[in-house]
Amino acid sequence: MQLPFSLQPLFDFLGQFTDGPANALIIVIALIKIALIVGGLLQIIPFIILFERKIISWVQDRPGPNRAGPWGLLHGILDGVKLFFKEEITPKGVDKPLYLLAPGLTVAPAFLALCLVPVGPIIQGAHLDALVSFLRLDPSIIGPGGIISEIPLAITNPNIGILYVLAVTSIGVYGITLAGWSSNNKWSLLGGIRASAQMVSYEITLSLSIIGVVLLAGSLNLYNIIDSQAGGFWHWNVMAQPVAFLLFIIAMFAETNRLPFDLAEAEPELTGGFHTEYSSMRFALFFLGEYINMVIVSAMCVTLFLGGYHGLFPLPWEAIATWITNISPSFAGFYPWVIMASYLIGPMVIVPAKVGFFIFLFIFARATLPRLRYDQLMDLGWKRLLPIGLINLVITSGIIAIDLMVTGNGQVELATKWIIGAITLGLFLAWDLLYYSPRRKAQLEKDYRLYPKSAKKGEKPALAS
Amino acid sequence: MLVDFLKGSALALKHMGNFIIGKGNVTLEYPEVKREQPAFFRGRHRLQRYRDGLERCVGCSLCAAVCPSEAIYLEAAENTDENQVSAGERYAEIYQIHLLRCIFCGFCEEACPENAIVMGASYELAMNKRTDFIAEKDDMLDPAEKGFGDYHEYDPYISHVTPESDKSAKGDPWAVKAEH
Repeated sequence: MQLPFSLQPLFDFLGQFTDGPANALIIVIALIKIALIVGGLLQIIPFIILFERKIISWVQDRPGPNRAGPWGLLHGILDGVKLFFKEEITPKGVDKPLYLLAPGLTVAPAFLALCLVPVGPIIQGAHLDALVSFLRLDPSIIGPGGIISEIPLAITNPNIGILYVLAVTSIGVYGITLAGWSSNNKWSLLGGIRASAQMVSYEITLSLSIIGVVLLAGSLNLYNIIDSQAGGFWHWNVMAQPVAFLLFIIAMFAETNRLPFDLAEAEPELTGGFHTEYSSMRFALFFLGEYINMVIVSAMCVTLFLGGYHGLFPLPWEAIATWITNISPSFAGFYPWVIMASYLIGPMVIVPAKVGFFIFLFIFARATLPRLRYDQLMDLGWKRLLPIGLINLVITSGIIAIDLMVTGNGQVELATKWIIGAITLGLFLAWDLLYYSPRRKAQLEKDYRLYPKSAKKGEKPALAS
Repeated sequence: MLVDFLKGSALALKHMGNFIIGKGNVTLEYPEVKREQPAFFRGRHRLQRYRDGLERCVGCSLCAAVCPSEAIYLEAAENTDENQVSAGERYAEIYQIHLLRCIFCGFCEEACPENAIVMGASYELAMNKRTDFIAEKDDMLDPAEKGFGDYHEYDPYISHVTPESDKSAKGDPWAVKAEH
């Protein structure tokens, strides 16, 4: 099967401007992937906002937005249109260059981190060959033996992927901090400072929970990390690192400044926090950055702990394709379509479903949990999560070292993964149940309660000492 | 800690699930469904009529006198044999209530000796222009066929309730306010 015309002359033409057709092809492939991934995400974000408002409404026993469009589907889009046409107000006394720069500094790192999200497998080998012959391109430029020997279904695939993601997502806090600083407003400044302090505290937990996964995979490359989890859900890193998974979830709430850790924009305390002085599209950019960040940390969690684009069960796609072609001669042409489906099921079904679960978790936590006080936030970050992460890392690395010494094949066995998971989860649950015993919980409740629980009827409750 | 967290989440999940299967909705879809107001509700003013269509208001200006925010303006005129508007000697030729000044205290309703002005059930008071907030007599007057009661009947507490739906007279303050 082939296209009726060859695409090669197009790339030969473009190659005049880009020092060879291979460079033109690289640029075109990158542009197509950027358009699909970034464009697709931007289309979805208004619906995430609508979904968020709906879920929160349902938890609170009300139907939620349902005025614009069927089931309220146009609310998010109309919100965007409204913000776009609003007046942009720049207050007097702001530090203007930083004030204008800050929203961009929040959004740009989010988009940069988006480049690394692997939404599907790498196209290589015979499948790439088939694709190239379908498009009638030059196999010496693109193909198993050509200059471009593989097409990963992510915008880019550097070897230090996870380091890059950590670095870029931490830059995002500059936008928030600078917005708070440049606004010339005490509440905004407090919000910015809170955001940066929170980011510093929880970045450590985030990194500690990632190190275990990197040890298991033996690589920083996101595709290698996903490949180490191939072969069904019992291979996923969540089985080996359940405690790190919990830590990562808590840290990712803090990293994205979402409830219960949204102290940077705590409305009752800071009247909107770092974005108080922003209006119109600049305000919308902060929101956009927040939601893209949500999607990215969710995608990172999926990549690191839930097997990325792998489904619950491994399917032998080539065998299925062969079986379908053998049913009847009229199905003979279906082979490439089944193979294509095996590549598209990751980006189209599995990754959106897994990321959607985490988006739901973000929204559901916002509907359920109260906002932490600032000292409680720091307590949780430094006195609880950091030691747990360190202990988890020590146990994990110890068992991995023993495993590598015993087998000597440079790979962590499946049974070892399960042993690590069982030990760490057991220790964590035991600590949780013993530390937060009923007696201590009663004491904590007493400590944090402003008024004593049983003031007599008609009596003015005295402040607890 | 983990257990408490799961307990709290389960409660929220229960509420969400209940809503999705169609239980536990506490809201009314307002523009389509309107909440019925109890009999003591003080909404937009109405000027009542007798059964034969004559207006109850006799232009005594007691409502304007008692109004704490001076929102009522009233000019009376004499009834003649050719032009019998109200049941008494005089009638209100101009009757205006400035709804932006009105505080809906209901003193006018209590002061009225003829049960002419009552606080109605309508709470939809949004207007497009400030001048629209001055309610004229025609805006408040009941349609002629909606009048009830005989001449000089006096009972302020049942005045805005039709004899057919006379629940509030029997001491039920939450009885649904009649929409005339």
